[in-house]
Amino acid sequence: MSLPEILLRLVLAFGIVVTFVALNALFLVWLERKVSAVIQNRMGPMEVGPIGLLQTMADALKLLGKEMITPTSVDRIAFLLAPIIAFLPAPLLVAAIPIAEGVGASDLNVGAIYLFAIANIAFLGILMAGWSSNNKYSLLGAMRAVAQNVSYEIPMLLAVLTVILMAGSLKLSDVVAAQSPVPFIVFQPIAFVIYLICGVAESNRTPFDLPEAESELVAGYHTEFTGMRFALFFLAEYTQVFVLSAIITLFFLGGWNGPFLPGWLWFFLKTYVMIFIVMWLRWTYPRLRSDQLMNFNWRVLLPLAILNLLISTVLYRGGL
Amino acid sequence: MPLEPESDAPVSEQPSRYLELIERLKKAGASEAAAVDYDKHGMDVDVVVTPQALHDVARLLKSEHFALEAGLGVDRQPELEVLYLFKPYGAGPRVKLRVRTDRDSATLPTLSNVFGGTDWYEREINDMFGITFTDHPHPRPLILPHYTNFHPLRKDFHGAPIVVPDDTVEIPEVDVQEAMKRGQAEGRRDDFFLNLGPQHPSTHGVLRILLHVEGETVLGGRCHLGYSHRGTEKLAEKKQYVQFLPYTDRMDYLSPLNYNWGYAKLLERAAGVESTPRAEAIRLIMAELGRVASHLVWLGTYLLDLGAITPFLYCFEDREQILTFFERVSGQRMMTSYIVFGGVRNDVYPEFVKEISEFVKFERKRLLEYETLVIENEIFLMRTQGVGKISKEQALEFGVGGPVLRGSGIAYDARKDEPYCDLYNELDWKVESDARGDCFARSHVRMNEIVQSLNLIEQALSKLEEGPVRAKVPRIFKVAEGEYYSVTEGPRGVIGWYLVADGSSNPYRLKVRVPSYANLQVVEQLIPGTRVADVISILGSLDVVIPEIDR
Repeated sequence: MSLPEILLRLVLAFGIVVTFVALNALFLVWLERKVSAVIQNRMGPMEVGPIGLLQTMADALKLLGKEMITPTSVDRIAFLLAPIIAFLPAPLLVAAIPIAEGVGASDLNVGAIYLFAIANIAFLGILMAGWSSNNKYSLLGAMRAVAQNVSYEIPMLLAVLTVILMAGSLKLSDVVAAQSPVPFIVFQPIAFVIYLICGVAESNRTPFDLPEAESELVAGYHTEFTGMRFALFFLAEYTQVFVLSAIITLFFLGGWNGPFLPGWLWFFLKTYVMIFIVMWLRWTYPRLRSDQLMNFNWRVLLPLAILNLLISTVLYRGGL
Repeated sequence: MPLEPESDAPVSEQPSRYLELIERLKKAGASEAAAVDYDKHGMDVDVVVTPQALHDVARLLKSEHFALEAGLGVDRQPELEVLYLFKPYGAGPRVKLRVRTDRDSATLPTLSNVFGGTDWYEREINDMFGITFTDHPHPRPLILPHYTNFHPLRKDFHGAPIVVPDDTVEIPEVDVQEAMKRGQAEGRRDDFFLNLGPQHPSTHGVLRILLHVEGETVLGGRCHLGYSHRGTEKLAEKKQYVQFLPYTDRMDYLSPLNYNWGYAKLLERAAGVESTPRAEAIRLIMAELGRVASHLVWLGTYLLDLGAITPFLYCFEDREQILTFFERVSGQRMMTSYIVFGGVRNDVYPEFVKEISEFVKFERKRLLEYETLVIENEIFLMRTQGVGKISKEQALEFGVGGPVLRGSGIAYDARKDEPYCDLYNELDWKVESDARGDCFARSHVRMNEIVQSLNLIEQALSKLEEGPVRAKVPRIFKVAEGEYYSVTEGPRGVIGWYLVADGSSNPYRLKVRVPSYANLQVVEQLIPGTRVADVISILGSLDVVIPEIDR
């Protein structure tokens, strides 16, 4: 590939990825509002566009036009950087996710490691947001977020490790290829459940929405953010939900494998079903308390994940 | 004003167990103790004590398992009087303890070292009457701003401009300062103060709790009240008896009918008027509907506090139906002013019985859903079981009421124990209680109470006989000189009305004993050692309504 070709490819990929991230987040916000409305016996947004489809577009435009307030007592540099750093992983993650055989911005040979490494940058943004806001609620929210994410990362990676063990590769397309007849969820149901729980916890959603627990911490780490800065946190959160569901699809549900329909359609179908399940959880459950959350992780999930990994290792590498 | 305790019947004709108590009270140091006619005055025993003997008499009452129901001040001109109302939650006499001080020195010993619950009452009396309570643990204003330089409930106060000084730095909390010093001495460096409110999603009104926290652990906290103080008790003194009714709606925006009823009952007791049988049945149905509506709001908001958003919308959907009934009956969804002196304001509409019985059936089905989907949810159990335990002793000391009291294993309900409506005796229902004392017990009691209320409504509908809905009452009437007390059971506990009448058409002093006042006060005892999230859970389980506390 010549240099202009690489550059063109880079610009194209970047454009597509960022557009996808933005549009997907808008759609997910709309979907969330509709799902919650159905669960709560309501209509949800109905006014702007057919069945309210353009409502989130209008909201986004409104947010763009809003004043971005910087409170006087904040740590300015960290405060301005925080939303950007929190948003940064979103396009980077989407870029590394293949949606069908050979379709994707880039299919890295260390895809799995890359995904989990990049995803953690977001928590730096959250920590910066909470710390720099100079607000006690924000700080508590940020502390909760970091504690929660660092702890849940461990069983999450252990769960993924079992899948990688079976696939024998870190490359995402190889992982999908390894599930060609039967998806890994059949062999690894426990890992799937552990991953789902940890994934919901990582994306800070109910029942693990402690960092932004509205009834306790007002809005947690993004209390002081307004306008587009707030919207960036929002975009990041919904992209995280998408990435979570996409990873589940790739690692457990067989990715784009499926009969009759084209691969990319299977991928999106599976991903959005997972997104719906995550939303369903949010509108059904109350929230856990911070110490209960930690106890659940260290006393239940972690031993379970380790046990699961051990048994898997013995079974698959033991030649069974 | 009568300075002597009223004694309507000679002591020899009074029930012997009160006589025994009176003897013991006198032995403990009461200067005067006499029995009072309950039916007429709503009190059983009237005790006068000197400031010196106050503690001994109070200790005697505490050892007899009396609960503190309220504390209030009365300007007797020229002396100032403080009354403490006691009731053993069970069978037993209502006792009022009266202690006087002269206007100039206005100093009394605090009772908060015997009954912790007098803390807030004494601070409010200090605001309103300027009586200083010596050795009070938290001597700072409760309701009024700290720079207020007048005492509004004294009779010689006729309005004054509030002068806000340039320097309005708040009086710091004594124990907050102490806590900081203690923390420094212990080398603690991670503790800080967190203002929960006055603008906060989960304080259910404008309440501010100053929390002393270390990380997520709460070391202690103090409530700051008065943000929605409207001076209702002072307004009552400026209004004629009947004119005051609409103010009773506005004390508690979740159960206006129960407040209407309490006030109507007080006037009926004072004037010796009885309402009609049909009115009584309508009152009961409406008040129980009000209780169901209030408990539904509690269920929705409590789960909202715990992070579940969906139940809130379901509960409000149900409540909306009840409010529609209120609107059709009284013309108002919330500020009904429907239960009036002598009966109810107007008759119900023709389809009332049919619609209500349909609603009862509908609500029973919904409750089953709430019970299985919400109350039995694992996360809900984790967040409520063992959190915010109120012991029996604490419940009595602070005089908590309603589901909070019954959630601590004391099955006292004014509807059963001091029935203010004959139907409560006739109908088949029971008082729900739960001995566990935690947030879950309170939730459990409330859920069961909705069922009991539905039972009551269903039965009362069949008792709805034809007849007038209001007894003949004078348009403007005067209450004979004397003191009257009446209690009704609101959704949050006992609503008590203490009236000092001077024979004119205006109340001389009207004190409302609001249940949330005592229920919230206990929060300061419950939160040390818990998590920030638990504070929200405890606060939600107490189901407080802040405007009711501030009045």
